[in-house]
Amino acid sequence: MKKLYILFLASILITPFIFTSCNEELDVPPIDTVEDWELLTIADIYQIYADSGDLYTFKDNYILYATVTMDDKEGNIYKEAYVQDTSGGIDIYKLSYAETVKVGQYLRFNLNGSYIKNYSGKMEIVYDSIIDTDKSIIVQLEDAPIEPVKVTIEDIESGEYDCELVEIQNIQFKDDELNRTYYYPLASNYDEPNRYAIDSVGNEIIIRTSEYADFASDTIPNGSGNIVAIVTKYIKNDEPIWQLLIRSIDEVKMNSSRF
Amino acid sequence: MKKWILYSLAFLAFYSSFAQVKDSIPEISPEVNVITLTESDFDSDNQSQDISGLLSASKDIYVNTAGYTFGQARYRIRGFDNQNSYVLINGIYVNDAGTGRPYYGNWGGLNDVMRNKVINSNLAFSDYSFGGIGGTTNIITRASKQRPGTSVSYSMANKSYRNRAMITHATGLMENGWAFTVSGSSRWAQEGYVRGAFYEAYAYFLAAEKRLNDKHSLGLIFMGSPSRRGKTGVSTAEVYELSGDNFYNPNWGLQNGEVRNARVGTFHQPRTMLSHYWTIDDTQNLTSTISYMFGRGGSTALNWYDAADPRPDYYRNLPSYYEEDEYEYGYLTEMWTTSESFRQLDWDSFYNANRKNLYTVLNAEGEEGVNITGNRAKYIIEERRYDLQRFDFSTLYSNELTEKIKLIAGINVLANKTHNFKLVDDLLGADWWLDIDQFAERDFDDDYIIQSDVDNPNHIVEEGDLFGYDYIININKYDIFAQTEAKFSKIDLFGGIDISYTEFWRTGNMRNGKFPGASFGNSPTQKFLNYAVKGGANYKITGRHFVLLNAAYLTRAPFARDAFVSPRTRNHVVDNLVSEKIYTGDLSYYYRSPYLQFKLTGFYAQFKDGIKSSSFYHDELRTFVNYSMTSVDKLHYGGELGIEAKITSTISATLASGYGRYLYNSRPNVTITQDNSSEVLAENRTVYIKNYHVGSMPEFAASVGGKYNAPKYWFVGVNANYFDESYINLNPEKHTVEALDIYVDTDPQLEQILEQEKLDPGYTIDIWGGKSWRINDYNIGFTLSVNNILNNTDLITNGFEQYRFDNTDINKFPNKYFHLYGRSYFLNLYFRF
Repeated sequence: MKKLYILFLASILITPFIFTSCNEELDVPPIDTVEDWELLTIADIYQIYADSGDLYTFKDNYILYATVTMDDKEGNIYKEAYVQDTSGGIDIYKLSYAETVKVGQYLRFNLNGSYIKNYSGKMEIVYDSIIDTDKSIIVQLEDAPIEPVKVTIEDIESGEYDCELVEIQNIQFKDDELNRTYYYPLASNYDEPNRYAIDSVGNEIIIRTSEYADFASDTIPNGSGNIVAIVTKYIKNDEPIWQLLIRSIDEVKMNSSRF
Repeated sequence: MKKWILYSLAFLAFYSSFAQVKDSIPEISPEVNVITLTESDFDSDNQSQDISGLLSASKDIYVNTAGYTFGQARYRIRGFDNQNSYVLINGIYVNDAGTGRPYYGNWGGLNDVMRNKVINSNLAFSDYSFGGIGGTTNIITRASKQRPGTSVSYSMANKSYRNRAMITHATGLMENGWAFTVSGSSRWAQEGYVRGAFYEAYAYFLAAEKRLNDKHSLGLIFMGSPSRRGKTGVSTAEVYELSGDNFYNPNWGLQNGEVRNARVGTFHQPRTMLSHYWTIDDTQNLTSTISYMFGRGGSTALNWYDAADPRPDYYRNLPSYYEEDEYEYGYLTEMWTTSESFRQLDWDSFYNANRKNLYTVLNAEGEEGVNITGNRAKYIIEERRYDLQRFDFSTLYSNELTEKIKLIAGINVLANKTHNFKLVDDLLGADWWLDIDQFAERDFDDDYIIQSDVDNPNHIVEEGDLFGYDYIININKYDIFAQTEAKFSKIDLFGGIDISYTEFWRTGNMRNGKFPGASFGNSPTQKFLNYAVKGGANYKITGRHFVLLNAAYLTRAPFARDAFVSPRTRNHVVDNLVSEKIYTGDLSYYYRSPYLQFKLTGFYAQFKDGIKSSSFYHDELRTFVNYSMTSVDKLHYGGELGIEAKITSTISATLASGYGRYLYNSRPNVTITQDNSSEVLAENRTVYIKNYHVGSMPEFAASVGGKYNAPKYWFVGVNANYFDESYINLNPEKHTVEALDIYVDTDPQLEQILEQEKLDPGYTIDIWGGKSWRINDYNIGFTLSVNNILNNTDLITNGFEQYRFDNTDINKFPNKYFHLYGRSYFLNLYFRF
């Protein structure tokens, strides 16, 4: 027993020696905190555009958090993406590589070095002077997609959904478009990417498809139904012409008969 | 902390179980018979960085277990780098001069004549040297101390080699005053445990000693261990999974149906020693030795120019690089998992590429108008050489002043030249290789800058020709020490002091195009004056209870290997090159009785102003990239426990465990340079790694064992071992502001980048046994050890973060891992007469 006691004493003697300096808080490099940078929403960016005009360049670290609603994987757009936050949507152009961002990613943008551009009505954040846009675009969440808002063509024409992801129900391609492909060679270059769709009350809207889209040579469906797409506009003679960008033909569901 | 409590309880419980049965334990010799498996294959690694093999002969159960059993999992006592462990052969310090590390390969295969060792662990007093803070091992090989007789042995194993044959004959000191020992061995494997890793090694040892008279003896020794071996590799989890092999080796491929390894290490650095043993009188001795060592060290590797990266596990050759491309991902996954030839080197493609690459070199060899046309090599095998010439002198004086007081003093001189260069080893069917710097060629449109040697521009090299770089590292060290030990009835004391002067410089034999003013001739000499003091006390509470306290303070000159930022191309040393400061101590309680030994130790070591250099081949830049971290402070502290109990006269049990924390406790600076660019990639960046783990070893290891020693000359034993608290080695660049400047504090990537991966714990079970027969004067026997008998091949012993890091794609260069060998055995049969 005495031996055990001595042993016990010895252990106690040594233990504090072993546990000196247990303060093991891990070092962190002094990087910027999110509070160091100014936070902007997409609405703020539209406001800056309204206040400061076209080609306003961000010369400091500004943060924008937004979710990708359309990427360039299917080729309808290239080195480009649409993003959205609760205040609106905007186009991002141009990314250093194709497919750098993906639909559903929630991103943090550093706007430093980018500028705002009104491209014939389409609002863009342009990164063309940034060599590696990956350094300005930091993924926060990989898979947090935004659901499309159900709207009518009239809603779109109100301007409220510019650059946003929407779903239009009960729509079909116009009769004279039937049997055409999404991108269709025509006499008028202007109309080659444009397929016209109408709703049941006769409102028209353009479905615009790049000739490089994976589905450019797919024939448009001839039923009626729903389309999920990004709303964009094109200003012609000071009038907005509204158009839809399809992300994937899987989102053109025209399974009902024509009306 | 929780683990510690459990662990303390466990050993208390363990101990008390003995306490209860102690009365039934008969008194036996207090000299505890430590299990030693010196026939193990720890001698096998040519460039072993591990002290393990030697320590398995220690009498301290913890040190012994840490050396042999924990060593397998890359455990290191107190987390100390083996630079801190001094290895001596006949009193000559044999650690490498440039790195401070002992390279066991230099005497691999000489087990028979290296048996006689004196091991002093950590700060203990050594009769031979001031020693390192990790301990001192003196291997005594003088002919008169070898056990007379002949020994023949043959061993079978499935580790780095599969066969070993050894023969040794020693005369002992004969009546005519002569003693001779000869030993020779061969170790070989067509393929060791790892695929593609062949092994071919020999060893020889000749010793003669002449006793001139009562006072003087002269001894001469000549020894060497020539070896050639195919190297193994290290890879990522993805590669291990795809290949289905945790020991996947990317270094080999089939050529004409034969396995060929691209990375072959070839070493032969013999050593000769002449010693004078002088017994001055009954109490005084003077032993002086001169030693000369020379020979080649080298390792081959693929090099390529204007060609695809040939390494199968290069990240662009793996499915993960094509995650967005379903077809390519599927194809590569299919090929990797099903085709062995696909996942290994494709030698035929190298020959094909080399045979149809006609190229004209203008102004070849720097001669205007001389144009040479031929097949320029796209792929070659080069050999990176580090040939050595080393001279040592040591003299050791010992005086037993009184029965209680001993004085030891010595002088050691070391002069080392390591010649570094590379040779074309195999042109793989091409006509020649053009000696220019391909990366500089990409960056600069300048015929001068791209030359490896501007005095010999546009140099065309063929097999056997020197190219690329050529320099000598010169190191001289002079060391003097004195120490004394006094033993009194209640307390033993010792103290020692050591003063040393170290100088080193680089001699460049090539004038590099990027550093014409800083690459040729002698660099400035770096000079360091260092000192060290240590002392200790052993307080004897009773004849069975002891309290031991040791402490040391030392300064240590930087090792030349760490000092030069990019020695292949230039003279520059790291900024702020200063000596490292180390203070360390330990406190132990030791209990010793005939049936129980118990030792519990706490230790503490603070390293200040260290340098940590890493040099690695950057596959994108096709060049060596050098990381030099300076002002590295490290704190190591923890506890060690060793218990050995004789339960009966034939059964003994052991428990050994070490638990420590090995942490960085400063913010070092890192400078990153690359060999073939004048651009410094990063200079004096602050590395924020305070309180991160030094890593690359388990911080906690425990082993419980039992042994049955039958009276009829046979024994069998078992050990169960547990490893935990292992953190992988960090990439310092990840911990700089510059690498993280695209992030803010809330970004999720940050945690992942900064996290130091902790490896899963693991356990292994080892068994061993042996039997010997004595027939007349003949002794025949065998020993067998089987490690990791459960064949656990998933235990990762060590890992590191790749030094390549892309801050926009943080998983692009994943961590690499080493696994513990699965079930492996070593069977030794011997015959002695």
